[in-house]
Amino acid sequence: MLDLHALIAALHLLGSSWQPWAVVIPGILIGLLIHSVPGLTTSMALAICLPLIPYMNFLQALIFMTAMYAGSVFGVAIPAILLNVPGSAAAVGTTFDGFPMAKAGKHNEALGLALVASCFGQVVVYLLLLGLAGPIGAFALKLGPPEMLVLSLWGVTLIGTLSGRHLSRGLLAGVLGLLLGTVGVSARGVPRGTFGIDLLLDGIPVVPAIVGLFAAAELFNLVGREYIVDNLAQRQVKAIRILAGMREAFRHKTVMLRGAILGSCIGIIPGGHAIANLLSYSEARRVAKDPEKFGTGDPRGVLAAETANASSEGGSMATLLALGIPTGGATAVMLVAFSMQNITGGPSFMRDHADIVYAVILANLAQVAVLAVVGFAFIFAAGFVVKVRLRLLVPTILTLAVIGSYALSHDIAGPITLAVFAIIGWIMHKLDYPVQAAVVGLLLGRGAEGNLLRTYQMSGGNFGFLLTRPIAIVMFILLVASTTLPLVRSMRTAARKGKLKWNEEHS
Amino acid sequence: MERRTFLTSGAAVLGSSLIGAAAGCSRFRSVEGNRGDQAWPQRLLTIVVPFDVGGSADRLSRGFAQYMPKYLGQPMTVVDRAGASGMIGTNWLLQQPADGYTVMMTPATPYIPINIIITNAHYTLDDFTFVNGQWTDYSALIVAKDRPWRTAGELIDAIRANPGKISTGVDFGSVGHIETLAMLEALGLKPNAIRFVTFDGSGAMHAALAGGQLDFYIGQSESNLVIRDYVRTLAVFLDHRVPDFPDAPPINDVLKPYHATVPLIAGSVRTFVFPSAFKVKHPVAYAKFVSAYRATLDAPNFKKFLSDNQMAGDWVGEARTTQIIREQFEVLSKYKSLLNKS
Repeated sequence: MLDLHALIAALHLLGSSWQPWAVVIPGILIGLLIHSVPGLTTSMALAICLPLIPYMNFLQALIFMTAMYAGSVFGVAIPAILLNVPGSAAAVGTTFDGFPMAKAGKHNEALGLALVASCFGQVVVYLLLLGLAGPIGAFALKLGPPEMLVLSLWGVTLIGTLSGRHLSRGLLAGVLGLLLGTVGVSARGVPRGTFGIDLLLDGIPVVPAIVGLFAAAELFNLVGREYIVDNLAQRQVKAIRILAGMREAFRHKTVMLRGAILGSCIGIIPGGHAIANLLSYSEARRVAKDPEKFGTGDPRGVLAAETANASSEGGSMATLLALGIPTGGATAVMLVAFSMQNITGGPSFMRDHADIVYAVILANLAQVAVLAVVGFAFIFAAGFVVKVRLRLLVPTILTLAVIGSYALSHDIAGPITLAVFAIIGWIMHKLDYPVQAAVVGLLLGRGAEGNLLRTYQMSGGNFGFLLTRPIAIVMFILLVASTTLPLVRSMRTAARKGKLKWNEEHS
Repeated sequence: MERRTFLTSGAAVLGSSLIGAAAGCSRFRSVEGNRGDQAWPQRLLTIVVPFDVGGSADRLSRGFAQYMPKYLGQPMTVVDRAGASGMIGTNWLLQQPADGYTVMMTPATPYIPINIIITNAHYTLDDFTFVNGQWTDYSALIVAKDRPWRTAGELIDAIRANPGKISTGVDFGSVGHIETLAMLEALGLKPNAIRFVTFDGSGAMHAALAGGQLDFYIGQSESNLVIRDYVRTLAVFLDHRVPDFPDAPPINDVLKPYHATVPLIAGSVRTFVFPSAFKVKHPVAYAKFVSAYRATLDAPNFKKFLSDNQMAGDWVGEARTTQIIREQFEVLSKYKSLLNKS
């Protein structure tokens, strides 16, 4: 499995000169910075830096990109914890316990936990890829439209059950998101819900929509508070407490390992990284002896979500590294950067350039070590956000969000989308519908519908086709089980309590 | 009272100075219009690519941005404005002043005809000047490697023997989609003789084909290279064989025994595109752009860039490029009605 010659060649390549490593820290910082601004994405960060690539030698380009990648994976967790606004959908699960911890003044610990979880998740997935990139990539190709459809449904169901107090409202919000996600030209060439606006042919611009939803629901929610952390004594940034959080993480090794492995597996499936963190969170809560603690600022919640987030990003690189086939935004840009160095994609990528594949993996592992240090310094600085009065912080973030959405679309369409979705988010929040569910639905909507259509088209309208897809069937059974069992359990507990109460009252 | 007077007089001063400035501007502009063509270009040129970073048009544009300024005398920058199959970026080009400082690099066909025919774009072919289709792709018929068909003829026989069982992936409204439909029609088969599986782009489709989720696919040979080890190329949509696929005959040779022929649609004719008003209003400036462009195509370092990136830099000229695009437009219009039946 492990090609030792290529591995040695990779080590030789990485160790040939120390100068290329000078780009590590800028790379990680760019990744961290871009991702701690909600709405900016890895593929965007890579695309912005793409024009620099021809001016770098191959090793430098490789190290720079992997550094940015490593930073970006952790960056999304920072606003998730401090502001309840995840940097990307992959950090939605991090908000569930991360923000309650921050509000309780444990922002130092929460950030420390997330940093360790992120590093741990990345280490696990890259070690897996180092040994098993080939088989993992081959397996990924077996996952087609039916499997991706089930995964999307799983994601929406999970977020529906996880967020908010009411299951029905969570599911409804998820479905609303799914429906909004279908706006635009369908895979079948039919424009829906575009109202003759050309810009909507590609669907609702997801990034400003998400920023709008979160900004309205979460940031407006902060209005009226003086600071994120109420207690003056807790409103401080202390390296020692970040370190304490980092140490705390190692007390929950099983939670982290489970999250990392789940994330690696789900990440292989295109679009999986939006779901991995939710699945891992819900698993951690399901197996916990005290599930009611989750959502109130439990360190295990942060760890479960963050390890899965980090490892799922790595999982999405499996098909690129093993087969040279990019399945998503960031990996596609990475392949372009390779092509600028005259290394083309395709299956020969792994065969002819096994040393480069190993070098990418090893460089990522090396980046994790640097991330632990740079990330520590970064969260130490970012933590000072808790000292800023919210009446200054909230408008600043909103202004930046509007400018950012303009920069994305180069026209007023971005800010308009943001404003419209801010209103939708505000209404949803007022009526107690969880916006996170709508966001996950919106992200998955387009793919879910396309994959439903393709499943139907592939089957030729014949239900027997589904029997030829065992992976999809297993996933569907897991979906049903993982969402109904906790419900049944909580209903039983409620019934028992009710009975006890009834007995007490009538004895 | 005093304040109001002040405000009024202030407004008057401001107003008159604005009028003066406007008049000055227009006078200045007319002078620049005559003399400006000789001096063009005087500032940075923007190459707009109506597709995402990393696509063929984007990569080609970045090559021009690197090598062409030497011959143009001004720097060039690349802006990607993707969306709606190129329609967003193309609309944006038409919204800019037709002064030559904004030029588009795009696979003009099939995308501009497809925008017009299928997605109801507000422009027509007459709105554009197509400088030179320097790099043209063609379609190829490929099958997943684990499938039993060794020749295109065997695949066609299998489709006829099992109508409605064999699947293909298509990007809706793409050249490959239309070629698939044209082939079925030429063979006297209905669109439902095969299962059309519609994708939103070629990436996911390639993964599906490599994973054996689909049976066959007709699409751009060049983008198929990414999965070349997982598929067999059975025919090319050209009138001759090509060295890249020595075993793949031209499609119309394959169809001969069935007494059928299909139109050969050029895929992705990549060219610089100006709004047509630029050439009309500033012929001298346009000629300067073309000569700088041709000098770049002839430059050894640019030629090396093209060959390193497996791109082409042929000179076919504006007239021939426009003719090809118009022909493609006719073919695509003809088969439009078939699209809705698949």
